[in-house]
Amino acid sequence: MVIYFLSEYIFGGFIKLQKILGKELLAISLASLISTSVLADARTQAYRLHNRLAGVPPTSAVLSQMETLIKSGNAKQAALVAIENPNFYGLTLKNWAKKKSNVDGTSRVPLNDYTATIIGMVRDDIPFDQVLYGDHLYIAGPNTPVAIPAYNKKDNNQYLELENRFVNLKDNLIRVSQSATTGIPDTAGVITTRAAGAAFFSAGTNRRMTRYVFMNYLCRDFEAVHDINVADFHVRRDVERNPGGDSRTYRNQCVGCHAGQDGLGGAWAYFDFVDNEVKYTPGTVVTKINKNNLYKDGFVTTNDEWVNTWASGQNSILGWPAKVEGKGAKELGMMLSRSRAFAECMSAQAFELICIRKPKISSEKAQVKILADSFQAGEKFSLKNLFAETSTYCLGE
Amino acid sequence: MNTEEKTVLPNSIRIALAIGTLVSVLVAFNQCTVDKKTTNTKSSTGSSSSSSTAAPAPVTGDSGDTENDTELPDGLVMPPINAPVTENELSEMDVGIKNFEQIYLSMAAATGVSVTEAATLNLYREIIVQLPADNNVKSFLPSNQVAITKLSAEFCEKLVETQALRAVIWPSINFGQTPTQVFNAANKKIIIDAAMARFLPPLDSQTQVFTYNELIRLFDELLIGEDFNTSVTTRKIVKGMCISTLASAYSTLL
Repeated sequence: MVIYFLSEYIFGGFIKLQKILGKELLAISLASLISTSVLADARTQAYRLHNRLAGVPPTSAVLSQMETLIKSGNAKQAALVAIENPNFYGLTLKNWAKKKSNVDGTSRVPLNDYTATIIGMVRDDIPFDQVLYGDHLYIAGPNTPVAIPAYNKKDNNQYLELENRFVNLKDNLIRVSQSATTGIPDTAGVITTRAAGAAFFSAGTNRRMTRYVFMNYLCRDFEAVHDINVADFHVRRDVERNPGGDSRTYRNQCVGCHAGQDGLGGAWAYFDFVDNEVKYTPGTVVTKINKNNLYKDGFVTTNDEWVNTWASGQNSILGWPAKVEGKGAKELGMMLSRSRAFAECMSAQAFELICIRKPKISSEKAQVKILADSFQAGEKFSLKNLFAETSTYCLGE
Repeated sequence: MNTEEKTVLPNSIRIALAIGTLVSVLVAFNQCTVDKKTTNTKSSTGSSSSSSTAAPAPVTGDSGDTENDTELPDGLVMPPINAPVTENELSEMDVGIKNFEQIYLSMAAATGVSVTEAATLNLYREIIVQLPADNNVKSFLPSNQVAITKLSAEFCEKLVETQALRAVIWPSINFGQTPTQVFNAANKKIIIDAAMARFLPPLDSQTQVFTYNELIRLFDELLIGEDFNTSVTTRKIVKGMCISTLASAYSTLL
């Protein structure tokens, strides 16, 4: 029956297929595109708000509740109602966080500890700056409705099963100490999770981790912080000083990124991803960091100290906190997430998630800064509140 | 000997030909370079940049980056929708498309079919890469719509064939009756109204009337040539109503 029906309506019956996919459906589709651009009433606003926050349409009861709140001028509270839907955590937030957990920036990857930790932190309203330095890890709780494998720092099976069995993540994630669970004392939020290790610590020279933290949490790739005026005393030995026989290339290009990122890269000196797990070797710098000696007088990493050479000069505009040098991943994560750039990046990402586009015109860019102010205020860093406040901006007129 | 002398061109002509060829190549190369420079600027009008004499259009916005981004690769011209300068222009692009997982869970929520239902879940996993990857409406393709329609057909199949589920949406309709018995004007209206209320967002009155009229016409056209003496046809037509609303852009736009 199903095959017959599908073949009749989708592939086979030309006349009816044309009617369904052609004129009628096209007309309905176009009508919806047009109608979304006209003024929306409170009920339509409530529906759209719920759709964007939870990813699914609301029940009629929730829709009416949100409509009433919007009518009474309390759109933020209406947004918080939508945020209580389990799909906000298990769908919207999950897809948002997944993109940060892999090199390709795609949400077509399985659930992992990186993503689950972000979901849990938002649910528990933990200050979100801790995403880069907190000792948090979220795993499956003991009361899942179906049997789930135990957490194992060498595989992703628990999270895979949580997702495949459609377990409610809002209700079934619990917080544990990451350091106690993985045995890594220098935990730095999602940076030291297994998924992050697999994506950003595997092979290479660990520079990938710095770059993707900048991209995902400061909204800047290295081209955007490129500064050739920074002192290059931290540039490692594996960077040629005369690529192609021309030292000007190093001076005018390479140093712009390496002077900054190699200064920060010391934080990952003891980290590697081998045998399917994040390995931490305190006191012993991983071999790959100092490999490839192309310039013998280059910097040799001997411990996990780091310094932010981008704190002065043109990149001081990122609004760094007072402490711009330290030791290890946790201290680096704290410096990054306490920067103004982090707050503005999170508010810009919230805007893009809820408004389905990046801020375009000057009033929107100003709004992102206002949202960042609110996000940073009192060091609350409430991502849940940021999503709710952003939602009200994209309600539609 | 005479023949050889005739076939060999004098040196002066050979030099002139070589210089002419060189000049032609240089001129042609130079024209290409100039032409690219004139078209390598973002257009706020969306007009074609094929003419090398056209003046560069003013830069009025960015291409999606929050930072400065004034240049596009050679030959690319940004359509006007990407360069909004006013609130009105922004409202035109203020829509998104649900991604693969949002579509699946939305259909499950709307129909009441369980997310772990084997038939729908298996089809979803089979066609997941054909469903939209993200919320960017500009990346929406016809193949995405075909996948959405296939998935909605499976959900509607399960919905209409399961008594407990269909009774929630169409409680007063007897799906065991034939079209002759059940498809009177009042019941047609009930079926369409319920589908619209369940699968579509709140509509303004004008759009509601327009949509209803389209669906009632589709309803009647789907009945043409069908067997009116079996309840199978009843369920099949209701599935058609279900698919056309559940797979429509109303349901899949954000």
